[in-house]
Amino acid sequence: MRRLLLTMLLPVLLAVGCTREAEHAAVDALYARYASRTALAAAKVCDFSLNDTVRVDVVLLQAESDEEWGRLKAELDIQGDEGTVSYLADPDAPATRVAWTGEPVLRVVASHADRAIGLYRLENEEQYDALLDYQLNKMKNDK
Amino acid sequence: MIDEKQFDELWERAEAGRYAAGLSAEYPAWRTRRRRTAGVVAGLALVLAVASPLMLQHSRQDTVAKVYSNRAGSADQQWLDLADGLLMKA
Repeated sequence: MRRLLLTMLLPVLLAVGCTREAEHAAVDALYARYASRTALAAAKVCDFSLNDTVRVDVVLLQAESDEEWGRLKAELDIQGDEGTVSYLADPDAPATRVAWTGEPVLRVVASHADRAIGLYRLENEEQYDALLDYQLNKMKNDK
Repeated sequence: MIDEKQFDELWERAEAGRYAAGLSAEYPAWRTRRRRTAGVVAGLALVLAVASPLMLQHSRQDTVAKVYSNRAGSADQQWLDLADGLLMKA
């Protein structure tokens, strides 16, 4: 009986711990692609809070020169020089635009003014909806 | 011949003997049940004692965003503001 309880409880505890770890690992790989570039300030934010319960991982890139910003834009096929560009991308290929199907995606947001790009990793519909709600609520509060 | 009082005493002794025999027959099974229950309770307490701090730590870590950057000395809040600001502009 005791062995049975231990056998049942331990996998549950391990599973709870490992789910978020897998998400973090996916963002680690994305961050590692950019972290070694000298003219690019890069950061990964684990568990960026969208509301009380939903958190996402984000990779942020900020070019420190116009040349680096040009390179980054070319890599991600971002057009224009003004405003903000936003699209959904393949999590393994941020330049590849995709439609939302419920599979993990990157929400890519590029700001020309900040020479910055945010790659928000969305694992499921809950995170996708929470991100939209976050933007709507912030906009309402700013009015 | 025994009188009524002696008979009652003998009868009570006989009754007590029967109870004692019944109890002694039940005792090993009762002791096994008690040990098993104590074992289960001790096992659960052990699992909770180990798991609670881990789960608390896990949930506490989950409530705070963690920032890692390739720029030493950059403020975490700066990156959190950028993550927030980009979403507002999108």
